[in-house]
Amino acid sequence: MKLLHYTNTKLSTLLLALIGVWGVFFFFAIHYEIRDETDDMLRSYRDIFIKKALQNPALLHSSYETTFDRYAIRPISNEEAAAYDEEWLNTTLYFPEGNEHIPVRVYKSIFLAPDDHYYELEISMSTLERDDMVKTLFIYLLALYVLLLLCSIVGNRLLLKRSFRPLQQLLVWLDSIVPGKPIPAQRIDTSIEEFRQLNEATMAMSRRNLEAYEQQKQFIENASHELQTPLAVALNRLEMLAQCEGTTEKQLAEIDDIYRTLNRTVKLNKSLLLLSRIDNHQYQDVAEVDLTALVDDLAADFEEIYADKDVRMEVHRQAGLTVRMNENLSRVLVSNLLKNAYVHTSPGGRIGVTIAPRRLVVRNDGDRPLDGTRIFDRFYYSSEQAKGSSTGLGLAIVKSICGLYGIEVHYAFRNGHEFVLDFPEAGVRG
Amino acid sequence: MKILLVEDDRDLQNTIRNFLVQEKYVVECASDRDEALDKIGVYDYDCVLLDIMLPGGSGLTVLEELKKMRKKESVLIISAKDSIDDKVAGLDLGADDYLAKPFHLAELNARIRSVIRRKQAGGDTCITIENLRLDPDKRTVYVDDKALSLNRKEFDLLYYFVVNPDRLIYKTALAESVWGDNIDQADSLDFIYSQVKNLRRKMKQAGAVPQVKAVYGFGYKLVTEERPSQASPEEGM
Repeated sequence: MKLLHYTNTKLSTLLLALIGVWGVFFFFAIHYEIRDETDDMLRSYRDIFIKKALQNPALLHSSYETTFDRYAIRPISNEEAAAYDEEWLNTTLYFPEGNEHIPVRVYKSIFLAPDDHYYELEISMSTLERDDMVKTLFIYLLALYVLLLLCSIVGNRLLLKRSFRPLQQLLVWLDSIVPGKPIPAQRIDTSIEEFRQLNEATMAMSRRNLEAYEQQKQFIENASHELQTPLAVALNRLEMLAQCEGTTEKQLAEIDDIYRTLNRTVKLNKSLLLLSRIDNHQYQDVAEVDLTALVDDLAADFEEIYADKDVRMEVHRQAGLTVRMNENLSRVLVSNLLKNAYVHTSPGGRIGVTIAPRRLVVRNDGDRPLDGTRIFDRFYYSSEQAKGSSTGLGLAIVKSICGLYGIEVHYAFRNGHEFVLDFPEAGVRG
Repeated sequence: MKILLVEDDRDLQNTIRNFLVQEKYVVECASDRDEALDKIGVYDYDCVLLDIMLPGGSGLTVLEELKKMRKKESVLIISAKDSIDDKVAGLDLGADDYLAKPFHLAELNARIRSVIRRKQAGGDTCITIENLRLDPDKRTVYVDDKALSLNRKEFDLLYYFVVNPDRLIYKTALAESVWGDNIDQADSLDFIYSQVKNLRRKMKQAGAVPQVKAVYGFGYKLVTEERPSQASPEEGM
């Protein structure tokens, strides 16, 4: 959920509740006030009437009726009067004129007339107008409520959006950071203290990250370099040892084992060095490389090397493919892909290389798909047995080289493993 | 043949020197840039093995100095910094070859032979062992003046053997030298066996005295003497 929507929803809900409670309270308060007003009027009617009736006893035996107001007088006994409670009623009266029932408020009270008799006075007053008013009030309140709510939602949204704009810009900026590339300029203008601090903090963090990244790259390169000389010494000493007169077969077998291990270390070190060099952009010179010729050349070598594996290699040339890139890297790229295919094809299997316009596909037999998300990771091994014979860096190097030249590389499983390289338009003349 | 070895790592310096002495070279060593500059200023060498990263400054300045003095030394750069820039810079400055550490001594030997050979313009650059004669420039091989036809890989193999005679050559070193860096799976070195077998068959059919001997699955050796093997009567030589 977006921060904007989240905040807006919460604010609106709060407002909805608050205004709602206020509205209900207001409505009932007004409602009460109006009824109170009616009751006051009824009371004063009664007072006026009693005053008049005391002066003019004839009124005691009359009753009065207009369209909406009326009163009635009824004599009551003393006993009844002693137990009498004043009464307020809400009821309806039938008015034959309009053939309708009209809501009325009724006030029943008693008074002692000069003839020492108690009389009950019942005053009714139409509340039709009052109810109308309450209804209107309710509608107005509701309309106001909805309007206020809408205004607050829209207003909040605009305000919040404006307030969060620096945050939005910061996110876009963070997204544009690529590890190892120079940090893009941060052009975010804000007067909000927190956002300014956030900008400064992320900028400082990015700088530290870049520094750490550079240091790490440099460290890998330096470490690999430093390892080369001791490795050379060990390798050469071993070579001298093997030359010694009288070395037995058993000793040579031991030396062979050490050689093998040492060679693996050497290869690993070289691959690491190659990777860090690619990442450090140390392959600057580029040339037009004819990939078709390169594939043919390397395929011939691999066919010899893996002759005993009896793997059938087929090259399908649908078009020529010339790419502008570093020559050494193009060789590493193609040979790593081919090597990968040869190593992971079981004896008697097939390898297919398809050269299409702006596309190179290397395909080899396989029965189950590999983890396409991790296959290009450094030191990822598809199986335990693969661990012994590979450096785990071959495809990582492929990925790095592709990244360098904007070549899209992906893996797919279609009844076999497929590595597809899509070359960018600009660098290719097919 | 006189060689100047410029290498700051004492261990590596000793190993390489011992090896080169075994190979009958006269070897002098320098451990830093200034020592190297002193030596090239005073003596002449057939070949200079030059490390790039040296105490006191880059080995490339030694190379520049050599070229400034118009000296004829062949220069073979041996560097841990297997970076393309250095390689290009070195070769641009007039180095004859570039070998990245770590390397096999047999490979170093082959490279030294190549760079020295290339400098001997006009002279006979053929390598002759008994009745076998190999011309590296024309890429031809003769046994008793009869041409021996070899394919490209077989020739490369034989070349590696003849520049390292009587030396036990580890199979990986051989494979890397001929097939380059594409070789790296230790489990797939059997193909060398069949390649060498073909070469041996052709050499035997042509009646070459030197022969490639397999040594316990460890590697191969080019031997010229017939005595230890006792296997030559059927060859009638």
